Order: sequence, then structure tokens, then C-alpha cells
Amino acid sequence: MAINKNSTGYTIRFSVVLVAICGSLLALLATSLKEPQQKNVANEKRQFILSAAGFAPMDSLKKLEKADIEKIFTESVTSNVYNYEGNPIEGENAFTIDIVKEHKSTKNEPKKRKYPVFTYINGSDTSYVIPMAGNGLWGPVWGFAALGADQNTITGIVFDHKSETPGLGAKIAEKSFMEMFTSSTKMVMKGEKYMGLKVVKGGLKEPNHEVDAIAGATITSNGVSSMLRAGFKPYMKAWNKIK
Amino acid sequence: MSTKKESLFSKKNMKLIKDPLNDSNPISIQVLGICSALAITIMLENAFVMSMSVLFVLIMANVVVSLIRNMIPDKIRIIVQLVIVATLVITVDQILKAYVYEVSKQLSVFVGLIITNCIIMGRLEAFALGNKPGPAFLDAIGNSFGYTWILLVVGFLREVFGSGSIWGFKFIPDSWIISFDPLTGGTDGFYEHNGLMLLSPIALFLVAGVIWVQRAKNRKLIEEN
Amino acid sequence: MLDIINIIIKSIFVENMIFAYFLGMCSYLAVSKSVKTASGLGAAVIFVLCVTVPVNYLLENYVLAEGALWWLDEDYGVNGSGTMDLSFLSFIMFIAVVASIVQLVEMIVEKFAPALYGALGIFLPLIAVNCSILGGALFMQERQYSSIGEATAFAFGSGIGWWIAIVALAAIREKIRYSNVPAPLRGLGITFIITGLMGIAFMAFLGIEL
Repeated sequence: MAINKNSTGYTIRFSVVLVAICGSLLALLATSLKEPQQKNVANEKRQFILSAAGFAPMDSLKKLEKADIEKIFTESVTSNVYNYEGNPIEGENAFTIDIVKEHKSTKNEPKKRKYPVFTYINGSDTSYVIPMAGNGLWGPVWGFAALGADQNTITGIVFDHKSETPGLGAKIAEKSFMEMFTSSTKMVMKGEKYMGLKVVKGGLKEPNHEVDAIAGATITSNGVSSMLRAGFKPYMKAWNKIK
Repeated sequence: MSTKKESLFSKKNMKLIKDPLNDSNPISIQVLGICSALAITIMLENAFVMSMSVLFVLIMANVVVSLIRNMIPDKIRIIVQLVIVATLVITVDQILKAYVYEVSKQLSVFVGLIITNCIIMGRLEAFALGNKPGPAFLDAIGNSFGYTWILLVVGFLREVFGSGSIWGFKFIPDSWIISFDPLTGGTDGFYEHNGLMLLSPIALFLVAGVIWVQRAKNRKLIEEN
Repeated sequence: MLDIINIIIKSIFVENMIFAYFLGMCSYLAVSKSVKTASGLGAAVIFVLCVTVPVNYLLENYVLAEGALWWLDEDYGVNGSGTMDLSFLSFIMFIAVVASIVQLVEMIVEKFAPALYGALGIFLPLIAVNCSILGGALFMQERQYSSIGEATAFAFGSGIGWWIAIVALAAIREKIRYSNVPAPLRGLGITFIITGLMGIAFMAFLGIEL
């Protein structure tokens, strides 16, 4: 080979070319695929909200076209945004608030966070879907909890995660875990007192406010638990359940 | 072209495929790719998906690095290899996210695991840097299958004893499981899943078991101490 | 200050890189035959983590994250018109930083501290492919530490945790030479089993809340 591939000049030239190729390839991909990716994410969020609200189970929502989901969503869901004190914030679009990013950027300051709520009305039924986020073992976990018309009893819940261990922490997004929240009565308030929900190991002491943890997935379960313990509070203030 | 093809399946090249299955298995002999073997062998299906992703990425990376092996400066070869692997993986991930969102959700966990999987770096460094693309391709196949069979054995054992199912299909009826009946205060059922199987350390014991069997059969692999 | 100590203790014991996340296993199992070399590799991991995590922290917060380029121009800020989210580049940037810092450190140590190079040198290239280093960078990104001090504390704690794990394993392996291990299990096999038992022991720390 004619070129000395270990000379400094060649090394620098080679790395510049490599970085240029890889960088432009990735930048091209990221910009050109951004739109379909964002559509997929928005579509999934609508599916989660509709499924938590009890419109239809997730499986059947997945069979619908994106446009149909969007139509159903805009027709039946309205939204508000509150601050930590439970006062409404005007001029915010609840749907565009990325709850995971919001949670991350205000990690130690829940008072600065924005709290969106989605109200789903279907005939005489009303449910309030509350998004929340927390940290699992490897990355963020998040969920949408629906409260019934009494603004207290859980009527539906959906969890999702970015990268929990398959077969362990990832079980939070499986039916068997999510059904524990609806198969018996789970409530946020205990009389006048705010309780939230907890995920606990080894037997329930407060059956209306606790569910069983996933065996072997302590950190993920704890993450979900702390997300559910605090997540409802600002809304309870907004609805005058706690003074 | 025909001579090249003939040599591709010569005895020497077939050894590239066969050796990693046993004598130089990436997990039990070369000690590569342990992290992922522990993290995703709880279910058989996950182990399979991970293996196939590794197969795909290892083939691509091995061939690409082998093609440009004469151009890579020695001083920065590790960075170059890492950048190539990461670019490949991110490209695939971005495309999946845009067009087959459901699949990408299933795989998203594995993306990080693949980039840091030392099996890929290990083979690039040890083989692709010094060999032609043809053998590098075969080496990639051999090593991924060596990795696959151990993952599948461990995944099978962990799923059967830990969750009582095979490939997600439950073969132990719920009525067998010991459960506490709060109304009568008694218990029913006689079987309980082995919760230990769900924990990561158990995968280490199972791999040790595989090593034991393998080296008992093939005594030349036994180490001094 | 208490926060920093909490982070250090948490990343040493509760979220130990080896026993809670099983990251960096390959070099952990391969280079744990004697306490001396194990301790050398462990020291190198601490050092590289303490350098790469803060660098990646700056990169994440001033270049890659959404709106992180605000210091160039107001328009690039979170609420600006030209806000950019470069986080799709984070994997590749972190890897490049790790690999180049390892290479840089290798050259500097070789030139200015030949004695240290003799002790650490052979381990440095190994570290570039140690997944606990990249894992450290990715965890730092995920957990959003509020200051560079916290990120460094996390890196230091994780490094110490890794060092403790590998030194403990090497010490056990030195002693186990005098035991009558079944021949096929000698070496790698018994090391897997020891690591598994140590992992189960470390699970006891999971209950600690800090």
C-alpha cells in the first residue's frame, strides 16, 4: 500500500471522513424520519389515553388507523393543565406536554412541573385520565391512570417503559399487572386524607390503596410506586378534595 | 468468482462456523457477551430476539470492518470499530421506529445492549481486522450461533422453572399453583414457581452448568485452576 | 453535601455496576485471577469513569440535549425558533468520547508516568470496551444529575463499586486454588458460580433507601 496508514496526517484525514460519513448518515436519517416517528409516538399516546379511559382495550385500538384514532380522540377528549397548587394554567396544550421530559427536567422540583389531565366523555360516563412518569431500573417508566366520575376510584390504567428488563420490570406493561388496579377497588383518597397508590411487597395492608409488586423487579416496582404515590396530588387539590 | 465461492466453503472455512459452537464458544470459552446473556434470558422469546439481533449486527459489522480493514489506522481502530457498530445499530433503530413502531418497541431494550455487547467488539478486533470479508462473514455466523445456543438453553431453563411456560405458553395450570384463600383461611395447589430463576445471578449458575457439561465432555478445554 | 454522599454510597452498594446491573462482566470475569492485577484494572476503571462521565455530562447539557445550545444563540434555546434536539447522536458521541479519552490517557500516562503505565497500561485498551463505562455515561444521561459535582460523585461511586467487586472476586479466586474443585468447573466455571453467590449477597442492599 502506497499510503502510510499510521501517519498522523492520514489518521486525521481518515477520522474526518469517517465522522463525516457516519454523522451525515445519522443526521439525514434523524431529520427525514422525524415526522413518521413523531406521528407514531403521538398515535400511541392517544391509544394509551383512550384505552385507560375505557374506550376500548389496547389490542383493538392497535387495529385502528391513525386517522381514526385521532378523530375519536379529538371528538371525545378535552384537556386541562394544572400547576402543583391545583390552579389551571391557561394557554397550554396538554397533549404536547411530554410527561417523561417534564418529569426529568423538573426532577427535584415537583412544584415547577405542569400537570395535564384529559377528560373523556362518553354519553353519561366521564373519566379523568392523569399522565405520570417516574424512574425504573434502566430508564423512565410512565403511565396513564383514569379516575371515574367520583374523581377518586381508578377505572383504568396503562403503564409503559423505555427499557425495563424483559420478563421482569417490563411486566408492568402487561395485562396481569395492570388488571390488579381494576379487578378490585383502588382509590386515591382515604376519606379526607390523600393516600395515592403504592406497589408493595409481601401482602397488602391497605387493600384499597396498594397492589402487589412484581417478584424479582424491586427497583422497577419501587419506581412505579413512587410515581403513583405522588402523581395524583395536584389534581386532588384542583378538584378541592384536599384543602 | 467461482474459485472464490469454492474456497468459501472449504474445510478451513467450515471450521470458522463449527469452532465457535463448541471449542471456542464466545460465552463459555472466550468470555464475551456475558452481560446480555444475564439480562435477557428470563424468557425464551427474548433470548431468541437478542440472538437474532446479534446475528444481524455482527454479520454487518464484521463484513464492513473487514472491507475497510486496510484503511483503518492502528491508533484509532477501537474508536473506528465502535463508531461503525453504533452507526449500524442506530440506523436500524431509527428506521424501525419510523415504519414498524410495534417491532421497535419490542427491540428498543436491546439496542443499547447490542452496542455494548463485547461479542461484537471482540470479534471485530480478533477476526475482522485481519481477514477477508468472506471468512469474516462465516466467523460472524459461527459466533452468533455459538452465542445463540447457550442463550436458548439458559432461557429455556429459566422460563420453564421460573414462569412455568415455554415461549410464553403456560403449561402449568393456575390451579396447581399454591395460593392462599382469604375466605377459608386455607391454601390449595401444590406447585410454586422458582422465584430464584427470575433473578440475574441464577443465569450465572446455569452458564456454569453449561460450562461443566461442556468441559466434562471435551476435557482438553479444562483450565489449570 | 449530603446529596453527594448519598449518591456515592448508593452507587457503590445499592446500584453496584456489577451486582445490580451486571455491566462490565467480561473483563470482570477474565481479569480476576490475582488481587494485584484486579486492583489495577479496578483503579483504571475508577479513573476513566471519573474523567468520561463529567466530560459526557458537559456534552449532554451543552450540546446534545434539546435546547442545550442556548449559549451559542438565543434562538437555539428551548423556547427559541431554532431549537435542536441532537440526542440521537448521544450514543455515538459517548462512545467516541470514551474511546478517545482512553486512548489519550494511555498516551499521557505512558509519557509522563512510565511506572504507572507499567501497572495500568495493559488494562487501558480493555477499558474502552468495558460496558460499565458506557453504561455510566448512559445512566448519567437518564438520571439527569443536577450538577457536574453530582455526576462526578456518581462516576466515582460506580468506579469504587466496580473496584470492590473485582478485588473481592480476585481474593476469593486466589483462595479457591487450594480447594478441590471438580476439574471441568475449574477456572471460568467456578468463577461464574462465585459471582452469582456474590450477586445474591449484594441483593441485600436493594432494600436500602437513600
